Amino acid sequence: MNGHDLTKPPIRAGLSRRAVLKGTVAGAAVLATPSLIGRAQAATPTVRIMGVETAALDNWASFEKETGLKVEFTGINSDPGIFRQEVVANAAGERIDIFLMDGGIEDELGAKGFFAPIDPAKVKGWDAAPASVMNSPLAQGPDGKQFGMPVVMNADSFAYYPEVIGEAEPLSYALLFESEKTLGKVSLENTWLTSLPMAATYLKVAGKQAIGDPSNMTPAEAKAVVDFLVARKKAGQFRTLWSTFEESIDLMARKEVVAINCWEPAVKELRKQGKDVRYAFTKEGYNKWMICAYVPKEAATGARAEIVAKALSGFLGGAYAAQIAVLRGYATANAKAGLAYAEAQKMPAEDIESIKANIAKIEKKFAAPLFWQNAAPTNIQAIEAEWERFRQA
Amino acid sequence: MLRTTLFLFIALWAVFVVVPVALLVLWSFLEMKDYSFSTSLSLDAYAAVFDSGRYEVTLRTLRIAGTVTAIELGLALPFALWLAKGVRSPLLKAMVLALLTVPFFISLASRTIVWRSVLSRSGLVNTALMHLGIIDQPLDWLLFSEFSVHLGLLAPSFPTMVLPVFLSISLIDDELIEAARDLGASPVKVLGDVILPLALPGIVAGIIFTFVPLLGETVVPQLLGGGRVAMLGASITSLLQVLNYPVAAALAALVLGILAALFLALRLIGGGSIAAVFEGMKR
Repeated sequence: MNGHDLTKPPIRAGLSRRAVLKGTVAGAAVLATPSLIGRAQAATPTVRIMGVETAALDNWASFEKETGLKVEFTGINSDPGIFRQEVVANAAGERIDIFLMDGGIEDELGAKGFFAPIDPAKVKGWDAAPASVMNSPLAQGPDGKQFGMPVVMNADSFAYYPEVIGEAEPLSYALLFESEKTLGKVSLENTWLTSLPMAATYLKVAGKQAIGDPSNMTPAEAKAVVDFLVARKKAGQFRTLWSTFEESIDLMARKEVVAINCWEPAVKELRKQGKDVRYAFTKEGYNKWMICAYVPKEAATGARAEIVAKALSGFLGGAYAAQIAVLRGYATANAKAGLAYAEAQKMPAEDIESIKANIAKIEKKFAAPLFWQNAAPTNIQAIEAEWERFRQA
Repeated sequence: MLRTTLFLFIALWAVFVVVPVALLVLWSFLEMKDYSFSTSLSLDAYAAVFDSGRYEVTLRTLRIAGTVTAIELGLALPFALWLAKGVRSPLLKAMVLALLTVPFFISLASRTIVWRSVLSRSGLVNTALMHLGIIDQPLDWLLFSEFSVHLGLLAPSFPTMVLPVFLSISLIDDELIEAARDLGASPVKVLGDVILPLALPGIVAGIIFTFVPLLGETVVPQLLGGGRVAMLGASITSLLQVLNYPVAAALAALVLGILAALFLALRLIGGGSIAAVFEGMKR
């Protein structure tokens, strides 16, 4: 706008000189903005993460310090359906740098080109994590491409009242599906994602049903498992299906049920309330799940790729591992880094203890053979339809 | 002016109602491959509705919604009549109407979850009955059953039934009722020949406002049915989560078809004329 002669008459009707000037000023401001943003980014770049709420820290300060990034976190439910819609229909990759979602989804969204493969060489700490975890089928696409990087994980079973069950661990999933002790006092999670594979695992290990992969069943396998569940439903084994975390706690707290395939944090809550509830070590194995980081294809190049690499290194770093272990009882792929960090930072003794206990628990459970929870089984619609048949029976 | 308004209304209605419904019906005849619809038409989605027990869900949902609507109507008619024609004090009338709206200020989930502590095995009812020696084992069917779902749906859908009925009875001119009484009609005859016919539009509106939302109800069946009493809302949600749009659309189209049939039936018996309400106006 400098050097403009303000004495000239209006250029034309309806577009006064002043308006043109204003436009020029605004235009100059707009043109200057990207460079301003660029400068701000050079100071502390922001990583935009969208993911499952439980993978988020309540305070990102130490993570930000460790990575030199600013974190902008958008929480979503642990719901593959909602996530699919975000990525596929709403093009979330255009405004998000990293997704944190239950593993397995890359078989679908990675294979279809929505995610970019991750290069382990670019991520600090990758080699320090156990290869068996990093190369889990839940992080790799069907063709073995590394679409995901494991971020947090746990192995789920079921909660129970020892006074009612009266047996020593390891226990069998029979307590959920086929037991006089728990008849009419069992609640299953109202989703095919966890309840069907658990029933399949029980039938498989008991030799009652030939099943390949409990978390990726063929339509015929799913049908056989649901036939069994329907028979057990008619026999009155199940009191109810639960849908929310609070509900699972409430059912156990009031002893409406005595065994339930809930999440481990629910047991933490119940024990806080003074209830003698335990989370079972089992004979057959666990529902091993992990939340992985996925990189949308839009964020795989240029400046965004640098930010992504730093953030991924952060999720394998000590600050995140220490905090998430204390907060949720989850382990990262590099849980030992968390312990080292906690000791170096002189975190409270009880926190260090819980991090240690956590590592021991995860190692014990992950050594079990079965099964990896899979949010995107090959025959997802057939499996969903079978689950619906169980609900209707 | 009237013509322009009417034209605008019809245009808006077409954009916001007809187009989505037409798309929905179209989707139900398509197949999905890799997140996109195929161009060929098929009846697979409708076959799937009948295969996975979703058809039973539809019928069950219609039955539960119908039963609850019928109970509401039975409760709402005498109540609305009393409130419209029996209560003299405007203050009391205003208070009762205000009380009817109170529940809307608390979330449905919070209001519903309370039933659990009343109906559960260790809940109020079972404890009381066992204490009185009427039963020696807690009753299981109080909770996570069709009974508890019906019970839980009653309170939330009462206002939607009672308000339109109350309004239409309020609009009936008192002189009409007095005239009928002067001519020797018994109270029953006044009710049958004067009040009910004139209140019919309100009754039909109440039935629609109550019945239709019940079809999509998810909270109460989830919390009090415990996954045993599946209703349509949950069934459709579950389909959308595995991106099974065609079957979800087929299910929705099926329900729309049933609703359209019911609506036509109501028009036939209800006369459907809003003008009937104004026939009692003082001339």
